[in-house]
Amino acid sequence: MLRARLSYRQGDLHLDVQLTLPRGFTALFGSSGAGKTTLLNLLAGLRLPDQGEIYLGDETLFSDSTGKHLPPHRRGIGYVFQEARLFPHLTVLGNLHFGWKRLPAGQRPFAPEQIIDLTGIGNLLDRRPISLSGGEKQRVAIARALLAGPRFLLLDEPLSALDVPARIGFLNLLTTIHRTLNLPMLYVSHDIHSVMGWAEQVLLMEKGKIVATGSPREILPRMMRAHPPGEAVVPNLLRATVVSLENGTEVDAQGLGLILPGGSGLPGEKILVEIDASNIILATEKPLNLSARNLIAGKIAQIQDGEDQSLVWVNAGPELAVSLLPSTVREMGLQVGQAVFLIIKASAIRCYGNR
Amino acid sequence: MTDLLPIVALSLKTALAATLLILPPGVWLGWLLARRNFPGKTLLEGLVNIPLVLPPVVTGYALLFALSPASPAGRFLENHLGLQIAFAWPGAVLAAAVVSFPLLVRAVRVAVSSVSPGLEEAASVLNAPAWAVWLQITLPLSAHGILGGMLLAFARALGEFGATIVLASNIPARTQTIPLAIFTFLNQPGGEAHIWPLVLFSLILAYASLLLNEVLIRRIHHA
Repeated sequence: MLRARLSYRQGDLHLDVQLTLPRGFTALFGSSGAGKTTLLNLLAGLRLPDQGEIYLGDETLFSDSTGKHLPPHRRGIGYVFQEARLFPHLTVLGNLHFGWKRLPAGQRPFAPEQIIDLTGIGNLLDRRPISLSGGEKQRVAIARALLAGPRFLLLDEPLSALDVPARIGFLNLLTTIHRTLNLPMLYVSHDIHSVMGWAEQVLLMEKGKIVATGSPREILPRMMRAHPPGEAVVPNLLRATVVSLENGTEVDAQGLGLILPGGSGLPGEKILVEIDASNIILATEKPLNLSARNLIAGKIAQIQDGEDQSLVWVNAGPELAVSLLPSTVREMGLQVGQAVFLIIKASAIRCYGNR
Repeated sequence: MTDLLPIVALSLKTALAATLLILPPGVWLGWLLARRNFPGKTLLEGLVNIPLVLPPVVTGYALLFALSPASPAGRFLENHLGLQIAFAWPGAVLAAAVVSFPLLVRAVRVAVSSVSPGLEEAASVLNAPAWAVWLQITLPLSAHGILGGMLLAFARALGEFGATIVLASNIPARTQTIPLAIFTFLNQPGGEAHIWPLVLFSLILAYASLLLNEVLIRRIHHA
């Protein structure tokens, strides 16, 4: 568990936070300029707070009252930067060994082969960083950080430079790493897509302060407010298995049967399915003779009112968010517990490989 | 011609010794100016660069004043370390070192500045203490620039005249480097015959140093 109470002033930013990070997969969400990177730099020891304490487990990393501060290399906190920051004069393997070889042999939690395998970079080892793609660089950067044997891993928007499939692939990798290695992580994001369906807990940061902590769904309305009106797209992310190819691509998404466009996967294949909340139509009575391939019955579990869009959470096996105008929610008279039908066109469902 | 070889050898030896002498403080000071902010930094910068703009004769005279056998520092060096600076070979080395020092410091400063501090931070969160960050990240990534600075300093040391003649004097086989020898031959009847080979040699060496420096700078930009 990482605990901190920090106060730090730099230019216009006055950072003042108190946080407790459990052994989970936590997202630090906030718009740019909120102080997310600064907070990570303080935790890692790259900047020193004006006041406060930082504890990792029962070890004190920083305390202004005792004057103790451990330098970054003795904190046991891994850090993956926004730009991968690979060492240009070393090969990929040289980069991987950099932190690993400094650990005493008995204190190396992972073998290079294990991490290389986990991150899928076995074919890159002899390459120079300059020849790698953005996604490859980030994989090497995370492997390098893991091999240094951290007890906690910080990731600073490692996804911002990646395209959508690479971003999904990377989030999948982080989830796998988190589960396989049981390593607590804090990753910075300013994008709802990288939080919903991935993070276990969200810290919302605004103007140097943590203003809310909770599950992604609890924080969702506030995360939407951080986006410009109309640009907050809420994704529903489901883990699915391809069942049959007879009728488009039929998948089982966490107990919910969905039909996707043909060619979305092979029977038995595990994929990730993403449906934007604004692409789902909600009906209070069962429509007949629909052209859309997915008609799903469910019950309203929760209604989150927002300023320019409201989210209606419908329990249809997994819970799906449907984005509606607040006036629509009122006019339809939607209530929690009400039986509704969801209509989703097959073509409105995106899918990604689940490596 | 053969009597010129010892002059060339002495010049090379002097310039090399001067370059090696300034390497450790030059690298340290270049790093300090590139990476640290402290009160008096501008004053220190000015002090380092003075030999660049001061007439070398004045630099030589200042050194002579400070280190002549009559001065306390000069006496200390001679009595306790057996080191005679004024009118001796160590004086030629010191004169060349002082005038080429700013060139090395500038080159190191530029080279170290070109290494992203982000890479040093990345190394420090990968279990590397400060000395390892310096040795394995900063130094290798600025090595070309530092080497280029050494070449410039070496070339400048080869050409040093004013400070050398004042501090070390013009003693054949001991402090008479190429520029001093050319000066001497100029004042001798029939000395011109010896001058041309020395001029040619100086030109080749200076040009080669600059070319190599240029090549190194280009490799930095391609890396």
